[in-house]
This record gives sequence, structure tokens and C-alpha cells, in this order.
Amino acid sequence: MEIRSRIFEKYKDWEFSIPLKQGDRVMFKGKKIKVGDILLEKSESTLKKSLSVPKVLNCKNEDCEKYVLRMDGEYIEEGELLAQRVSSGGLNMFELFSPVSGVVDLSRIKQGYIDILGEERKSTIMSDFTGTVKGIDPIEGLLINTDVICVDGVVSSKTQERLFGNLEILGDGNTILTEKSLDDDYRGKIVWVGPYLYNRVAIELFERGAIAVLTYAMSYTEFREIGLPIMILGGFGSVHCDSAFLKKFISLRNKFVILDGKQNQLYILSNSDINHKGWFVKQYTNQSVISRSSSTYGYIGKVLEFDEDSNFALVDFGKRGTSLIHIGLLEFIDL
Amino acid sequence: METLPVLKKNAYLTVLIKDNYIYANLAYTDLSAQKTYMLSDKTDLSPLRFRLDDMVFTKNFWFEYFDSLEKVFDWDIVDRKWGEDFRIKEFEREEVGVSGIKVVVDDNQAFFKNIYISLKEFSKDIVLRILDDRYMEVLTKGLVDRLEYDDIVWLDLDFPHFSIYRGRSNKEGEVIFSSSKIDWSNEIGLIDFVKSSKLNAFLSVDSSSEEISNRWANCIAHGYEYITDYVLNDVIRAFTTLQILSVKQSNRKKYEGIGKGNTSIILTGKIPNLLQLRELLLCLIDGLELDGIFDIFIDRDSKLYTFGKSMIEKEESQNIVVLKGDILPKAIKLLIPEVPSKAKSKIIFSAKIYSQLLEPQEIYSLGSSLEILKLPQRDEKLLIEGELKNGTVFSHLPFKQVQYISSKKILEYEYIVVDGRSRPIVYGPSAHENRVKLRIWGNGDKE
Repeated sequence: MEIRSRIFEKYKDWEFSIPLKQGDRVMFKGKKIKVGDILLEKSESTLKKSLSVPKVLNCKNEDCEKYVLRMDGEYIEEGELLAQRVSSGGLNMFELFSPVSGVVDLSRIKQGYIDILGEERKSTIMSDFTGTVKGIDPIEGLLINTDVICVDGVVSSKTQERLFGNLEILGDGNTILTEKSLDDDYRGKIVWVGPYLYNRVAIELFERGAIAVLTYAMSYTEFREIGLPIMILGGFGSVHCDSAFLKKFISLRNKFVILDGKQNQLYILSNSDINHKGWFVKQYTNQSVISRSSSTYGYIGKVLEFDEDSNFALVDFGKRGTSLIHIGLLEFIDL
Repeated sequence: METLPVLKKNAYLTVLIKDNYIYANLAYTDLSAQKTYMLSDKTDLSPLRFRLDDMVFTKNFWFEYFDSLEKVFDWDIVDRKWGEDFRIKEFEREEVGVSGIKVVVDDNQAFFKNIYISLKEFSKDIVLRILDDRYMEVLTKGLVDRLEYDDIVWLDLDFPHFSIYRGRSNKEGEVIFSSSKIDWSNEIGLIDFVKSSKLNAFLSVDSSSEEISNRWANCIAHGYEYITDYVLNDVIRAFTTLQILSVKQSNRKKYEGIGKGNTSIILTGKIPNLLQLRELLLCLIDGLELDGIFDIFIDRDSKLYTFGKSMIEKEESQNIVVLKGDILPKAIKLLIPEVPSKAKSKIIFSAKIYSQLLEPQEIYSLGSSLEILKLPQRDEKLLIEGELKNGTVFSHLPFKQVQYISSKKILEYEYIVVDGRSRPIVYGPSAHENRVKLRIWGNGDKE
């Protein structure tokens, strides 16, 4: 029997938390959240500069913290020493100086970045979903129960925790962008870069404050080397990102999302009207499938015919034409 | 006249949940009418692999599963008069009811606890069992006795788990059990392994490391059911050979002397279903460094996991009496002799196949290659009489002649495979050299 894969699965009454940072104020009072309710007031500072510590100190992301000489929240003047690494018994010394004056922010140090912040500003987080507040916890944050849409992917192993942010879609969501077309500030954003991600775009996004980066495909080698929170929703290498998937995904623009690195899942806070079909595929013809065959990898189509003796199905991929594919190379989907 | 209990009609369903698959086997027996068979189904759970700990295994899921299974098997399994309560439809006759349902859950299965608890809550009618080392010990030991082999080596080959179990009779007639495993708890680690120099020594494709990594990563991430990509096929072959070899090299004592007695090798898991027979045999022979004579069984439907115990217990079985022929897949007779260098391109083995209804048929194999000879599939018994030629001998067996009987429902052979490659088998150092060797080794399939 074949199981139908739910590309966008509706999870009812899912519990999550919005983490609270220093200076955040919970504005919401009561239990039931409505669309438009103000949940939090955040005090954020402008990002003056993001500095990649491994680039300068020639060290691993996870080791960066031990070389930092300043405290989180400390004010630093331009040209002052920020981090230092001594190696080869004192023969080599790598030093990172602050290029601007500002407040040191170490919240992304585990990903290898030190942010230098400027003046403070206030912003509010407004709900675009309905749910229930389960409690407020100084460690967990604002605990909320709501419906979400769940999407599976593969997350870089460096990301074990849950990351919370707004889903930012770059451009039209379908164009592969270069770093030249990026904005200056992506703090608080989980960014969809389009169907393919090059590592230099990812690095630029993280340097501009992005919490995590989402894409459909990228080179496995770059995915492993980059060491930053990246989620791949399609596959590795040149994988086709079908418009049927993309259309639905782009419609979730600006929603709050949670990337769970441990579970390899992306949760989108959205009260969707998805009605799932049953788990098991009762008959093959007229069912939606995604191809895993090398010539049509990633294309979504419909089964026209199935031959039980040979186990091959004739699949209509729309403009791409029809292909004869072994059933073992087709994944039945509910999209 | 009363029918003996053992001869009574019966049907029993056993479900195995292992390595993100649900295997279902339904056994039916009517021994008085000499009618026995088994229906099999396999469901891949990998589309749900990240969600198995979420809310997947609800009552609805299991209801839907058994509901769909009824349609696939065309067999009434669920008693619907109980509404929301799942009850088994009592066995009445062929296609109506089963005398019981047993679900065996592998303790290596991801989110084992969630699955086990969900089934426990789903129905009190279902018997639940855990597939663990103890289960495998009883099964392997029992098979040594029941199938009358001196030595059974069972390789369960899945990407994240490689397990080898062995049951071997000693001089006192006692069966000694041993097992070894390789577990990849981290998927990323398993994907990264493709870059290891050890694995590269077994590869025969010249593709870039980038391309190999991408294809391998997609294979692990999406759980393919069928392979057409030659690069990926080669990676899986290299990976499997290396994994088996690594288990053997780290446990030399446990796996010494394989093939010295009457030996059978059982293959289960996902990899045997993905690789072609030739590649699979190369992995097995070179990984375990085999020589001698073997019966190979590739159990694609996990029938031995689900009904192996019933087969061992014969008429003592509490669930159902099953016959060897319904459980055991068709066998492969594998002959691995020592081929002298002078016999490199000469005939090293010739045999005649006799049957009551066919003219005798001659088969032969040449040195240097791994030859897969397909036997005619007949209802009547086949007798295969063969002899090693041109100085070819079995390294630790005193005879050169062999004689086998292939018989339906008892022990039916599908292939005779003769490995005429010169020893030692050496892979590497380059992909090009491996490609040349594999081409030479693959020069002689005959059907």
C-alpha cells in the first residue's frame, strides 16, 4: 500500500512558545487570541554591523563564544578589540576589532556572528492567527496553543533548537536571487530565498540578521559547510521546485513560523482550511505524485495509467509532458 | 467425522513494523484440501518519518490501515458491528475473518514507543510483540533446526541499520547465536559517510564528489523504493559492501568459518530490494569474504520475521500451521570455488538439469566472472548434477561433484550462481579499475 504524503499538513491545537528577550513586554491579556491582537512589545535596536567571527579568527562556529572579550549588551567604541584567538602556543594571533561604535549583541554567537547595534526602537508583534494563551514563562516565553501548517525538510545539523520568526519571501519567491538584491536588515526573519540557495547569499542574509534561511534545494556540500540554520524543503543539487508547491508556500508570506531543527519541520502559524485526504492511496490513477526519477525529479503530476504487471505508471506533468515512471520512484502527495 | 485441529482451515495476520515499513502477511491454510498460501503487503512509512512522533498514529490511522489492507487482500479482517471499537472479524472461511492479528514492532524503529503505545490503545484484540535481539536469537536458532542447516547467517540491510545474526551448530549439536550491528543514529552522519576514502575505494563511477553527495543525500532523505540512477546504484553497492566488510572485520571471531558446513544466508531489509541481484551478491560475497557452497534466501516480504516462528513450531504453533514452502522464498545456490589462474577463461563448472518432463539441459560457467544461471521454473522436481572443471576445487570441501534437488513447496531454487573470480578479490585504488573489474565479473548471465 502507498501512503499519501501531506506536503502541507494541518496540525490542530499545536503548542509552541514565542521566546521573550530582554526588554520584551507581553501586551496581551486574556486567553483567546484573535487576529489583530497585539501580543508583545519588543525593544529592538538598529543593526549597525554583523561580524562573522569564524571568518576573522579562523575558528569553528561553536568555538566563537570562548574568544569573545566583551559582554553581551556592552558598549564598544570603533576600533576596540572585540575578540581574540591565540594559536600555535602564542605564535599566531587573530584579532577582531569593532568597525563601528555600538552595543555588542551576542544572541547569534552560536551561529558565529557578533552584531553591533545602534539606537533602540520599539516594535509590536501583532497576531495574524487565532489561538489560546496557555501561560507566560520567563524561560519558555509566551506559551500559545493554535493550529499550524507543518512542512518537512532537512535542517542543517547545527540547528537543534526551535527558531521563531516571520516568513520573509524574497522577491517573487520563484527567482533565484543574488546578494545584490538583498535589503539591509533581516532581523527577526526566517527567509525563503527561492528554489535554489547559493552559500554566498545565505552568508549575506545571516550577516544582515536573518534567523534562518529556507530554500527548496542547494548543494549538499555547501549545506554542510555553511554551518548556519538552513532548511531544505526539496532536495540536494539541481532539484526542480514545482509551481504547485511554490504557489501554496508563497501564500504563507509574512506568517509567523517556527523552524524546529531537531524535528526537521517548519511550523507555520496559520488557521488554514486544509482538508486532508485519507492516509492510504486506494487507487493510483488520477492521484497527485511527485517524481523521484532523475529525469523528472521534483516535478508534480497526475497518474494517468498504471500497469500492475510492470509497476510502471504513466504520469502527466502538464507542460513537461508525460513520462513512464516506476511506482517506486513516485511519492503520492496530498497538496 | 471430526477434523484434526491441525487440519482445520485457518487464517492469521501478522504485521511487522520495522525500518519505517509496515509489512503485512496473511497466512491461510487448509491442510485437508492441501491449500496453503500467504498474502503479502508492504507500506513505506518514510513520507511520515518526521511526523511519527506527532499525531500520526491515532485510532483513525490504524482503522484506515486495516480498512485498506482488507481491500488489498480482498479479505474481511475487521468486525464492523463494534463501530469505533476495533475488533477482529472471527475466522469463518477463506476470505472471511482471521483467527488473530499479531503486530511485531522492531525495537530499532524510530519512535518505537509512540507506535507501540498507539497500537496498545487501539485494540485489545491485537497481540503485540517486540522484535529485539532475543526474538532474533530464538528465530535464528529455530531456523537452524527447522531448515536443517549447520549454519545460518542472517543479514538485515537497511541504510541506517546493518545487522548480522548468526546461528551455528557446534559439535555437541548446540546452536550458538551471535549478532553484530552498525547503527547510524544521525542521518547527516550517514550522508557524510559517502565522502569517506574507504567508501571511495569501492566506487566504480567517476562522477564528482558533489554529484555523488547530492544523489546519496536525496536517496537517504526521500527513501527511494526503486533505483534507475546508475551513480546511486553504484554508491549503494559500495556502501553495502563496505558495511558488511566492516562488521566482519570488527568481529572476526563471530564470522569465521562461514561456508565450512551446510550454510544458508538470509537477506532482509530495504537494500536487497533496491540492488540488482548481481550487485547484491557481490556485496555479500566480498563483504563477508565468502567461499564454499551456500543457499541464499532473499526475503523481500519479511515472511521469516512474521511467520518464521510458526514455521519452526510446525503443528505446535499456537497461531497457525504454516508450511516451509509458503514462507521460504525461492533459493539461490551459490558456489564459490577456488579457480586456478590457468582456468581464467575456461569452463570451471558444468551441470545438467534433469526433470521428468523436460529434455536434460546443460549449463556451464566460465572462470573470471560471477555467473548467474537461471533455472527453469517447473511444477515437477528438478535434479541438478554438476561438477567443477579444469582444476577448480572447493577450498575446504573434499568433493568436486554437486547434486541438488529443486522442489516446489519444499526448497525451490531459482538460480545457480557460480563465482569464478580469482582470489583474492581486490577493489581500488581507482574508480576506473573497479569499473574494469566489475565489467569482467559481470560477463556471464545466462537464462
